[in-house]
Amino acid sequence: MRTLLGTGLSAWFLFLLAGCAFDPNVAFPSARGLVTGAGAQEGADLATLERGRKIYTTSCTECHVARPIGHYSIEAWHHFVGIMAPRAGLEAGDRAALEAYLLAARRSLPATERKIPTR
Amino acid sequence: MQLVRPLSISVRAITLLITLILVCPAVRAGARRFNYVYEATTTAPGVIESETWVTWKTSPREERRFNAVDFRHELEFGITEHLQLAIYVADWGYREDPGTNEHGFSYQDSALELIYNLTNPTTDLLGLALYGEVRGGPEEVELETKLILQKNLGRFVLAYNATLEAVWEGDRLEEHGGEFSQSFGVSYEISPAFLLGAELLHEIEIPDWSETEDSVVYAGPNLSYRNKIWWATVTPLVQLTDIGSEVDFQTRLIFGFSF
Repeated sequence: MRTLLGTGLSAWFLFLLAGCAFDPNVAFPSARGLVTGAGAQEGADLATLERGRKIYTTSCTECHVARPIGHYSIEAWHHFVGIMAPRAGLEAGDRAALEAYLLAARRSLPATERKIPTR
Repeated sequence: MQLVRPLSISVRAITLLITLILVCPAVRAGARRFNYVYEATTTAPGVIESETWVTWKTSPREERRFNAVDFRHELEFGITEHLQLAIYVADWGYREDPGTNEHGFSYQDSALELIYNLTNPTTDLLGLALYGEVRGGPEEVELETKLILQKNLGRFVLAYNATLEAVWEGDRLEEHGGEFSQSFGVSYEISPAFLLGAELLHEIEIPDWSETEDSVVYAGPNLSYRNKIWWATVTPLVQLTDIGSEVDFQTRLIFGFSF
């Protein structure tokens, strides 16, 4: 029983450590932060960006991990969303919200976080 | 050859499963990374997913040769963004156990499961979900609860389950007991199609809710493949302990289809 508790507690500790080491707001910028910056330029409102972020971090991660937004160009994201939206069963409004969030988040990232320059 | 239990219930259940699949044109599959570990994410609202489980358990030892192949047929329904309902239409299988002179096919049970996700493993510190399952068959009733933890870190996904089961067995459900188990999984996404990882399973039976039996530990790799139509995940586990009453080796394959 001690081994059991020890293993369980170790797993909890490992998970907490992993969770603390990773800041999701850097990898997946919050919608509120985007509204005053790139989101406003895109014309997307807070609700749309929040909806897009929710879809990216829930529906998309049902089958695969959420890829770093800055690692792909805006053209690449359009291409990926075009392929994946039907597979994920996204309706037109959800797809538009997802694209608005990805583009706003991509533009908001500092240059060091972008591996491919925005075209 | 002795038939363990009649198959009539199983045939009805499978017929129901096929009917449900055929009348659900929106069915699509959300791919699983693990076979012995549940993930904290749930099916999107309005979405129906179909999964079939195949588990082969064997003990090749001369003194206790044992073989069993178990099947589960599951339909998952996304109810809300946080709540998922699943129906295990039929759990059935083939058993070959010279020790108890059981040979043949048998229907075991059907089950109903609810998972409620509290936090998101991608955006929150930890993904957390609660799981409850009620399982019933001709000679068995089981209640199962789980605490599910998950963290997504880049291409890695870590998941942990702590499970407590209460079981009533026998003609009059006169035998009762429990089991505590925990499982841990890690998965790495090599590409969008292929994922590779490992799973660990640790079980302790508690007969009559009194003394605990010896711990049994299994571990093994897992491999998952997915495309736009179907996906499959396979996990072979080997017993790391030396508990003779438990199987030495088990392999589980879960596959899902999109319709």
